[in-house]
Amino acid sequence: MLQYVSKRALSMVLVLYIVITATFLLMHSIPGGPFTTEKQLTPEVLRNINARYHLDDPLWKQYIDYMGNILKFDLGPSFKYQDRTVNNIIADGFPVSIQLGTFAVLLAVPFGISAGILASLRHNRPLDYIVMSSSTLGISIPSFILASFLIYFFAFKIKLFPAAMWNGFSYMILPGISLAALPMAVVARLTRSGMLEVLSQDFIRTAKAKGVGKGLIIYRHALKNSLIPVVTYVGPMTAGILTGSFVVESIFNIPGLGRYFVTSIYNRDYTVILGITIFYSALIVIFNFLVDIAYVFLDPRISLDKKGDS
Amino acid sequence: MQPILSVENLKVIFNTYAGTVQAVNDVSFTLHEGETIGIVGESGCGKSVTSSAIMGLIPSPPGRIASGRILFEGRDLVTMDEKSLQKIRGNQISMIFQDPMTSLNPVLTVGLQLAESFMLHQKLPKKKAMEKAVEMLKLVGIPAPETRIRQYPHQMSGGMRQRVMIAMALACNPQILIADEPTTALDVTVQAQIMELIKKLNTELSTAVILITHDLGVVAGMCSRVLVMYAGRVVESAPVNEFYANPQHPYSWGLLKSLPRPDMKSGTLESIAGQPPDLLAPPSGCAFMPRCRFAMEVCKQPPAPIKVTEDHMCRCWLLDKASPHTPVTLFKECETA
Repeated sequence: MLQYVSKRALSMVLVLYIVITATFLLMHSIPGGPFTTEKQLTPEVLRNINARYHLDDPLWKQYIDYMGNILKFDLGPSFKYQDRTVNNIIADGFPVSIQLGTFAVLLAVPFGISAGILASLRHNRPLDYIVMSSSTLGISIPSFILASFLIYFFAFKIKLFPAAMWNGFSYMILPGISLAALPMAVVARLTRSGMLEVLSQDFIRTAKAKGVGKGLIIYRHALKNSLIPVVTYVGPMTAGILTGSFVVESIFNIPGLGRYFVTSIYNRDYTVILGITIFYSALIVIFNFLVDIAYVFLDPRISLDKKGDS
Repeated sequence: MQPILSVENLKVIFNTYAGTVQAVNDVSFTLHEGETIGIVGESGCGKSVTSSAIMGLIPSPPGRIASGRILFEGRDLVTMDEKSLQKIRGNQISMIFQDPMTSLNPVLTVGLQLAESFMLHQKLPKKKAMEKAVEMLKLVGIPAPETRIRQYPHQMSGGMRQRVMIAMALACNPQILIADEPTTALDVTVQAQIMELIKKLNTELSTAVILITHDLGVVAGMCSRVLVMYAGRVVESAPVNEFYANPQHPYSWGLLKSLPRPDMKSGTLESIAGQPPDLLAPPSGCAFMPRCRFAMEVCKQPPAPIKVTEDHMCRCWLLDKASPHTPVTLFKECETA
């Protein structure tokens, strides 16, 4: 296990390195820069600014400087928001995104799994059809449409929840649902198909023959076996949700990380783009790692050390 | 003596898209304490469905017990509710399945799967149940049971897993053990060990055994009675000695002749030509007629069960009073042929 973890840590660093380099090069290869705005700056001003942010250095030097700073966990200053560093922006936006994201994950995973189990137990009966068709809706309705509908209905019609802003738990509900709908639907589908497959296995018959009741059959004998595809999906999904969704955060005017990410691209705010990309990739890499570890606990046949059995 | 299990006119059907399949049709037999009976027949003849029906494990839908009774200790298992059935399953009647490779849960330790029986039926706490699990593994001859209970099925060989299955089935010292082709998936040397083990436990714990197999050799060595099933019906049932000495049904002859014997001269074994009938549309008369060398006009009518001796039953027109042949001479004839 320890060997695996250390090997894995190395490869995670490598992946991140490639991501940083690729993003860095791509960003700089696009014509224009953070200060090419519609407002014409005098060449002197532009030169001064470029010198201030070291944008007049050759690319390789900028790259090396940037890498050096990253090793110190310094993601640099924002080009657009003066007096703010990328670290500041992440520190501001991420806690908001993480609250909203955690809420959405807590909606999506337990409800998705339960719906999937229920559907599998009522295979080809009304409840199954209801769950499956609502999950098809969940997958096919874009979050901005769902969000608009939720705002219209819950905020304007019955005035139950606030329509936007970020001032406490009740502000979390509508964006949370908008954000959770898609993953919840996917989780329900994955759980259902996993359960259906497992419930027809011989060992379930064995358990029944032993006199195990329905509840324990599902909980002890079937669920663990059917969760592997779900976990595979939930890992990266969690990373995605936690870093925030631009669409949902914009609609509900939530000051999360997702919004900064997208505006930084419009602004050509090099350091913010890079910083958030790195942050996001690091999260994904970490969650994928956690997924692989989770496999071991779900299925003892999976061995991370590749030494074969026992 | 009162039988502990009596199956009376059991009929199991499966509703499929193509129509209704009569998997088991009018099957009756009894089982006494400590007795071992063998149910033999080709694949698809209804052996496994019969055993699943006894366990109440017919997948429903599509399957269902259409009629008949299964009396266990005077109670009818067919009409019993699920909760009461759960108390009997694995406790008083238990079952070993064909394929030990897939019949154990891959993500639970062998110990937990074994201990589960004790936790369910004897309400033991987990720790006590685990100790019992170790004892059971010892009983079925698994070395180092203390380490084995912490292992997962994939860490064991096929024979070992089948031993675990047997241990699981015997955990609560059931009155009846149903073994559904317990050795089919295992290699020959392991087969012998497993059969030996079942036999030993049958005598030591006086568990009654229903052995489902297509190996007549095993039946001869273990069972006191044989039931031959064909296309969902019992076509012949007899005490084991009587069956081998004096088989009456042409299908039984075919089965016996397809068995290798030490005194055989030529290299090829005989087989029964043809295929079992389609149970979606079973023939109206004797189901074996299309494959039977001795078929007569009357075989288009369903044959009634005929008693050859007090406990030897056979469903064949050859045994009818009006039959021009006596089955024994025909059997001799086809044996020498």
